[in-house]
Amino acid sequence: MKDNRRDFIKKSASLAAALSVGGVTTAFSQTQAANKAPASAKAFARDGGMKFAFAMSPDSPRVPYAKQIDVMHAVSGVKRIEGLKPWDPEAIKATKEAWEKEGMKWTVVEGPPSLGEQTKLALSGRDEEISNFITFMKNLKQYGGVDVICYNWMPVISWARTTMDRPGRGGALVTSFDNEDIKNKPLTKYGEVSKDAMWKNLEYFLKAVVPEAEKIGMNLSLHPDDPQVHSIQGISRIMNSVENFDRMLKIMPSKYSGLTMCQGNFSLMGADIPALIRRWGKAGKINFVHFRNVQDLSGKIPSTKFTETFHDEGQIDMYASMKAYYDIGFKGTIRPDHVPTMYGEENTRPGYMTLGTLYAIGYMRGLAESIAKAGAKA
Amino acid sequence: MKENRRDFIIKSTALAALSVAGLSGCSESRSKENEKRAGLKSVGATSQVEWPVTFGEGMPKLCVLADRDASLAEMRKLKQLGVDYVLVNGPKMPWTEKGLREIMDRFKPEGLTVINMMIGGFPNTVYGREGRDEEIKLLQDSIRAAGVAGLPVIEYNFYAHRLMEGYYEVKARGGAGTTAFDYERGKDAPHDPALGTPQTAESLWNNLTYLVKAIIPVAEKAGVRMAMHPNDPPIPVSHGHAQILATFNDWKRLLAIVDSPANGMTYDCGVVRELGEDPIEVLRYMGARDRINHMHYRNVTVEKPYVKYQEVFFDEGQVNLFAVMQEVFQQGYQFGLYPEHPRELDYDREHTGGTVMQPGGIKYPGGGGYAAQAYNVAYAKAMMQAVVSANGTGAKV
Repeated sequence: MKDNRRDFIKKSASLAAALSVGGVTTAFSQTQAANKAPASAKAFARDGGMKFAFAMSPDSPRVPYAKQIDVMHAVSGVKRIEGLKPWDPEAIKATKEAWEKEGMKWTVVEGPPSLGEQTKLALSGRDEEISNFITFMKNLKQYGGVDVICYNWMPVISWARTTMDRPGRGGALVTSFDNEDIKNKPLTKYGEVSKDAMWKNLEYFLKAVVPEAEKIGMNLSLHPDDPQVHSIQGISRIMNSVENFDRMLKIMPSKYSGLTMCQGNFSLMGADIPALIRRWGKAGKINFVHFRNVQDLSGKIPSTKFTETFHDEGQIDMYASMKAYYDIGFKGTIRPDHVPTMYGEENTRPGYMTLGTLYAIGYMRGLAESIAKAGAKA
Repeated sequence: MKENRRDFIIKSTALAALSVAGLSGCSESRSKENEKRAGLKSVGATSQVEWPVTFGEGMPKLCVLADRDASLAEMRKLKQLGVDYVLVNGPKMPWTEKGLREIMDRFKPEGLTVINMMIGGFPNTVYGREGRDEEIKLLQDSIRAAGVAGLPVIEYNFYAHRLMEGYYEVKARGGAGTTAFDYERGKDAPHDPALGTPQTAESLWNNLTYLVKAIIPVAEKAGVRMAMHPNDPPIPVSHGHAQILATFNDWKRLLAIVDSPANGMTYDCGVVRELGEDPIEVLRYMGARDRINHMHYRNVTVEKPYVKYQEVFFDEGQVNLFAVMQEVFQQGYQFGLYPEHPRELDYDREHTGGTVMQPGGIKYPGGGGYAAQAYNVAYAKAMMQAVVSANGTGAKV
């Protein structure tokens, strides 16, 4: 009713103007002035103030796609340069320059060099590995301007899936994991590695590294085990429950010892993702986000099986998750993870193909914009 | 040029008078009902809906354009985008129940419902020439067939001519293509004798009125909604022909010809902004009257309304797409919502078959393909899920 009356008044007014002498052009320009494009919303933060990123190297064919959809941050390793170690200043400088040349900002190293089996399994050479890791941290901060390192505690068998081409929505290919398929696989050459040993090794690493990270302001961000089962081929996994993450955070309590909020894995541990984001976010522990969704769980905790999905169709409340990041004021790097392989794509890098990544960025941006605009209005 | 424009303005302004009385009837109960149905109120920080969010009755239906003869692979390609609905170019008239069912039934097994078919091929009606009654008979038969086949919406448009010469590509961020339009580029384009007598606004309105009065009662009876796409580009004259659906007042006048929800439009928030109008205000106007029967979702940056603008990425531009989405749910709008006009990305330039053609096989300069469409559809879907989540309305069917 109200709308009608307003319309009526408006019409009468413009009509009156039109009927007056020489009023036609006047009416037109008045209408134009009244309908000028609105100023952008107050205090609206694009992408909710977060740094949207792709995981890629600076010479990736995906760099132009990222720029075209306005994803200007990169999660990248160090350029491989003959004769240089990845922790050498020259290699790090070259990587930084390569990103700058693209007009993009390198913000995170995921899967850092010199953090391998020696350290995670306490083999000989561990101290040298840790020493090089510390050198890497320092040089990465000083010469690369990067202050987040995403690492994991999964020696030998890292990221693992049992199916790389399960048909998902519309026949898109997704990865999945079922512990049943691998539970009878033989031990690795390292035999049985206990949870206690894994904890001891992690503690040794954190005690050596966290004080150095504090000195330089490097945010260490431990990624949950993926898959987050109790062990694979005899090698135990310990970063597979929320409680264990809380325990890890207490080993060397520091502003610079935090975690990567990989939504998929924490969800498979039975966590309420938005609530967890708020809890760890308020404690300042979230340095980096893998925005991801999953479905088809086993019902056990941690889940012994799952299937990756498109971001819009899994079990995690993606709206509440994005809102939680926004509300805690998360300003760090966030990237889509494990996207389906879509129509026309060869499944050469399951989980990391282009179309699904573009879809995921559109989805993340739509959510972030909705939340930031709703917030800006209130 | 000046004269044309003034002519155009005089007519549209004066005609606004006619629409005032005609439209007030159906709106009050409608908007109240919508408020009730949507149950919109803010309920705190965390959404209270079950995930993944789906969209039930009284909610918009995310859709994309499909070829009506789409192969299985093409259907799945679209399904991957996360849509349950498609719109297609309808077959040649006359449509038959059997023909329509064949088209619609082919999509069903892939989880796709045809929500809208576009109908065309009535030039004599547009030009008011001999043969229009035969065309209108074909239209009426087609609408009846759609009703029996269960097709809810038919989209159509009404141009004597469409000024494609005004479009050109402008390279945007990272070299992506955007579609710019400048009326100056085509305003003096000569009349094409092959297209018949240059149409004045008056003659076109006569012809349109004749058409609408002939088909809307049929559509109403058949339970089909007609969605008139506005003239886009919304300019006064194309090759000597007037454009009569290119202002908000024009649209109001169309809706007043027959007072029925069957006599509706395609609400295109991009076109609304191209006119310099407020997308929310126009959405409320049409929504309150239950006249939005299809919807196009896109963004645009306007330099000069009606004259110069640029179709840009969804995440930039002058349309607040989130505000539009909120209002769409507020209105209880329940037909197709088509995120359209993808920008041209390198991925689509490098991959053959990537281009998303517009109805009629038009490729806009700076217009893109599947990769950019994936970005757009996901963006739109996120906003739909965000609105449902924020409102806590419970979206399960």
